[in-house]
Amino acid sequence: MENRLKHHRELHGWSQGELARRLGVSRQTINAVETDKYDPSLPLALRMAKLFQVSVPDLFIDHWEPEE
Amino acid sequence: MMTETNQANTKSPTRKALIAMAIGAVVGFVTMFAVSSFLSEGWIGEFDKSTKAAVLVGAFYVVMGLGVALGALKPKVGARILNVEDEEELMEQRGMLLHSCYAASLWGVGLVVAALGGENGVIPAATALIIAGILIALGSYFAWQSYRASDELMAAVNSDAMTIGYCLTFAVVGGWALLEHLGLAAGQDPIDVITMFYVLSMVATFVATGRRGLLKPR
Repeated sequence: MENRLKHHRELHGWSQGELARRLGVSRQTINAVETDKYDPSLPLALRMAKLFQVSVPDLFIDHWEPEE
Repeated sequence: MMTETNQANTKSPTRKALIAMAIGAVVGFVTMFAVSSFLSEGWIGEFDKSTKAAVLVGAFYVVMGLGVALGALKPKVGARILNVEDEEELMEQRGMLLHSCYAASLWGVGLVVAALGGENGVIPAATALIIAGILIALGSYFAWQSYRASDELMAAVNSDAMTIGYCLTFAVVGGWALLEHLGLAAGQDPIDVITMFYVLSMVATFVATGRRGLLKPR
């Protein structure tokens, strides 16, 4: 799933390590999310959104649209 | 893409990966050669191919466990030979890595004991069953502890590995059993089945790790 994690992280001037520390996960997890190798769990996505003070859909972009 | 650190990483990830692969290949070759020679000399008895294969795979698990232990206990050295960004990464994951190394080593020794036991082995069947059973159970306990110490990415990798491992086991062991049932393949030695579980679990772990981009040189 496309995401803007790197954009928001860099906006705050944080390294992957710093973000990982704030979220209580490993740097590998942050890297895997940023490179679209891993979609985070809902609790982690919510924590990320809370940390950057944005909504989850602002961080994770899903292009799916409901059928009419 | 590499994970980003506060300090610039001056070493080429590809060069580091090649050196790590070379060290792994040498250590693996020396271990396999030593174990293979030891078994072929007949110092502790004569063994068939299935037993030798099981002992080799068990030894490989032990070496793998020791490699991870080295990384967890000596992060400076580990950062040079393991596929991690820096020593800090190893320190962050020390708990998970240590439990993982205990699990791999205990499972490895358990397989060796099981292979060397039985009617034609050098360890009495009951003794081999008790020792191998305890080692494998302890290994499973540490594997569970490692899983509990993992963050969600590693937990996902573990789950993926279990799913892939199940499918591989079903295909390979089940496929072989089917062919044997139909008289199209030679019968499996029971220890071959156990050895295959070990090998396929390892293959599944590598596949799961690679799918999450964790095998990329870093």
